[in-house]
Amino acid sequence: MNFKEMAAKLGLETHEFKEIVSFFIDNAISDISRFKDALRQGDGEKASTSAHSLKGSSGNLGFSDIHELAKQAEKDSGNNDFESCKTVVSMIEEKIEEINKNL
Amino acid sequence: MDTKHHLTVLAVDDNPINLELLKKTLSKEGYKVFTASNGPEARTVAVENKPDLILLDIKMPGEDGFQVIKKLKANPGTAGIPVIFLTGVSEIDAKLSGFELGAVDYITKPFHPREVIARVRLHLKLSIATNSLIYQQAQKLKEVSEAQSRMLTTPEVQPEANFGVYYMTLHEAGGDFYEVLPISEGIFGYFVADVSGHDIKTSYLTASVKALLKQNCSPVYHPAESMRMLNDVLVEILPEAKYLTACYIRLNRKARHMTIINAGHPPPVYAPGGKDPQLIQMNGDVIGIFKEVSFMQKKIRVSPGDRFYLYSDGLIESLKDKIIWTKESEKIISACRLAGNVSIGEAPRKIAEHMLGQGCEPEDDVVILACEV
Repeated sequence: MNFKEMAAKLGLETHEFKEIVSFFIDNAISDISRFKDALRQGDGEKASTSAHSLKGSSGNLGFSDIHELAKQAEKDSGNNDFESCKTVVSMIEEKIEEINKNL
Repeated sequence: MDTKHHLTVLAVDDNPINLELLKKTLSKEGYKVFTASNGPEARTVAVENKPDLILLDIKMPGEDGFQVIKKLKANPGTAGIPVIFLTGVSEIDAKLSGFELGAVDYITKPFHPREVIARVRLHLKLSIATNSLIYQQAQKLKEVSEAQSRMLTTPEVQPEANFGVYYMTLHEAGGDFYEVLPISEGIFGYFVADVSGHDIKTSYLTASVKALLKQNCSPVYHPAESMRMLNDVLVEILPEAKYLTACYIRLNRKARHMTIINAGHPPPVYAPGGKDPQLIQMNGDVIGIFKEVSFMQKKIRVSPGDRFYLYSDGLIESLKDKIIWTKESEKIISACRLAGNVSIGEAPRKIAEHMLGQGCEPEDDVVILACEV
């Protein structure tokens, strides 16, 4: 994971980018937590909103793999496909953890 | 003109990460950035800080971007601020609706900060250029001398405009004014105005308004925009407490519709062919006092043979006895009904005779402009 390159793509300094990424991780963790709560409650719409939020922020920062997974999670939760949601969200968690380690 | 150093941008998004990213990248480019995470907050910040541009997310919980832009455009204090929408890729309809509601552009999400910067820069440039044009026009017109003779058009000069006019001034510097503007093939603008008081030299003001109408009534501007631009310049050049009431109709004979703007003027009369004439009641600010104005715009489908009549308040204020408007409006309607029996060229005189009596001795300036589709 090359933060310097990702930062340059956005026209930011590496330390500025890392600041936002750190903010992103905190937000992603709470988005994921809300997503899982919604899954437990069987509330597809609420889960979809959390996934939408994560989709938006990850896409703009250049985390395209998370963006795609969040997109899938938004779609699956909208369709009340909770089994698929569980798989996707654990993949997202892995990706977030990976970013956190590298930060 | 606004000479503040910092250009300001308001970024509106319910996603805090996006907001932070927009703030960081725009700040780096030298913009002062305000942020808001929901619709009502965005409107409050817009009213309080008058940003030079707004980046507005469409999909937000509660009040969405469409509702926000509608309210911003309805508020004269924020109506002129360019808005760029942030939209998801799949929202084609959303993009179109956004333009219809007055957005100047949209940026697709996920957005790239450099694209955001490029578009913000472009639209700020356009906005600055428009404001500077208005300022230059105002400066030039301040120099227009009294020597400029007033020139009022006549039906003979513009037969395609198919209109008739009755014009009578009692004062050297009459307060009434009318103009017929060829805008494009088959499209004409009809304008009647009344200046408050009679102490401004008509030669000066008539020439100014005439030049401004010519510059600003073009097919690229909505009639309401043309009137707003006229207002922007007149605010600069008119003495304090002087203003214009006006009614402007843009008639498109090819597309068969007319658009009406009323700026505090008596309501125009629309007489559909063979049907009873009716007053078109609308609201709108007067021109030349307030920096920020709003006008209602009404579009009506028309057919050949339909007529409309514009007039100044000298026509209704001339009666010595105190009159009530409902009675007067009935009288105008019946005058227009009678005028339907004569040619468009003679119709205005017919109305004047009916309203003011034979011999036509008004107590104030009077202008009546009649047009047939």
